[in-house]
Amino acid sequence: MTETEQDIERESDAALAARCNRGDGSAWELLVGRYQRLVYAIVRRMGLDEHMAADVFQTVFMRLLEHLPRLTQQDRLQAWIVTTAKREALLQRSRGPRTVSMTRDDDADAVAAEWDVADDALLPEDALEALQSQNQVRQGLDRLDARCRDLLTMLYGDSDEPVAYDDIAARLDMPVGSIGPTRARCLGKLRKLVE
Amino acid sequence: MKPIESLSDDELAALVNGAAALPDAPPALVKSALGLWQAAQPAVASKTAAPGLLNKIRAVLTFDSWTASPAALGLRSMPSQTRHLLFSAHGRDIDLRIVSSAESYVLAGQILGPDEPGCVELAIDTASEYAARSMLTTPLDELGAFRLDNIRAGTYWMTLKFAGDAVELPQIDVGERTF
Repeated sequence: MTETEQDIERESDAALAARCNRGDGSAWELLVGRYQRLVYAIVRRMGLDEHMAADVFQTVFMRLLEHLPRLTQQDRLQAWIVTTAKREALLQRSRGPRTVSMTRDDDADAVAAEWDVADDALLPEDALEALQSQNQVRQGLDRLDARCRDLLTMLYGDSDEPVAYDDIAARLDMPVGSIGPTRARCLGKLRKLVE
Repeated sequence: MKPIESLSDDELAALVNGAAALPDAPPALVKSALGLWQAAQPAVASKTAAPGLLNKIRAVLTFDSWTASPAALGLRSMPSQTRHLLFSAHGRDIDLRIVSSAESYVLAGQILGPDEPGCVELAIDTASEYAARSMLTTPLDELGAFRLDNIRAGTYWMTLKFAGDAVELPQIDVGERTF
């Protein structure tokens, strides 16, 4: 990625919204890329199945596109997206009982447990905030240099099966003794990227 | 939840765990969301389209003296108060210099490319508190040069308008160097 492309990725939501309003399609691509994980996570955690989640996902981005020219507080774009995703998911759920939607997993009778809950209290504010923070950190991870990203992902990416220091040292071709200091530096870089 | 910048290393590490597990939306959904843009746009203007329509071209930053290292410039230091930016857009290069002048700035530049009449429009970032300000416009002179005086620090958008094209420059931050 060139320096110019990285600069574009660092643009604020407000700057991207302004560019969209000026007819710049590349800004829309960056906005969709920035929020696709967050919107998808919200609608799935609201208990929607694959098909209903797809409908809501599209609706949220369609409403965003329609709403961008009227968005008065462009620095609150994330909050607007989160509120819209949650509201649209609730609306879809309220319509849900009228139709039955099959998921790919229905065939195998193995719907993923973490999504298989249907409760209005499923996504309280603190969980919603956690998702937003995770999305911000994920964007920071994506912009980290490859070495730091690999190190942090190996160290913390899978808490069930953490990768041993010896394996990390071998994979990243670094001494075991430098993993700790490098980890601290990488977390510092990540913190700056998500500030 | 605490702001991310105030989290300890261990708290941030826990967040990395959740962040890494955040799934991408299925590619088909993302593609479909991206496609909403095209569907919402009016017919694309082109030079062969009806008169009065402008072809929108986005310029790319190719040089910024503030990000180039002194070594790369062949200099021992950067004593100049002038920021030098170069942009490129479909056969046109735009040479822009931002010069500090008392409490304001001067934006001076020249179009390097086809000899053609045009004008420069400068608009402050609409997200800023100065949103209500009107847009500044100045014509290109016979050498393709322009100059805008008394520009205050802030974020601006510059568009160069020619007979059939509107060349949009990336966002320009005018102000003191902070690094």
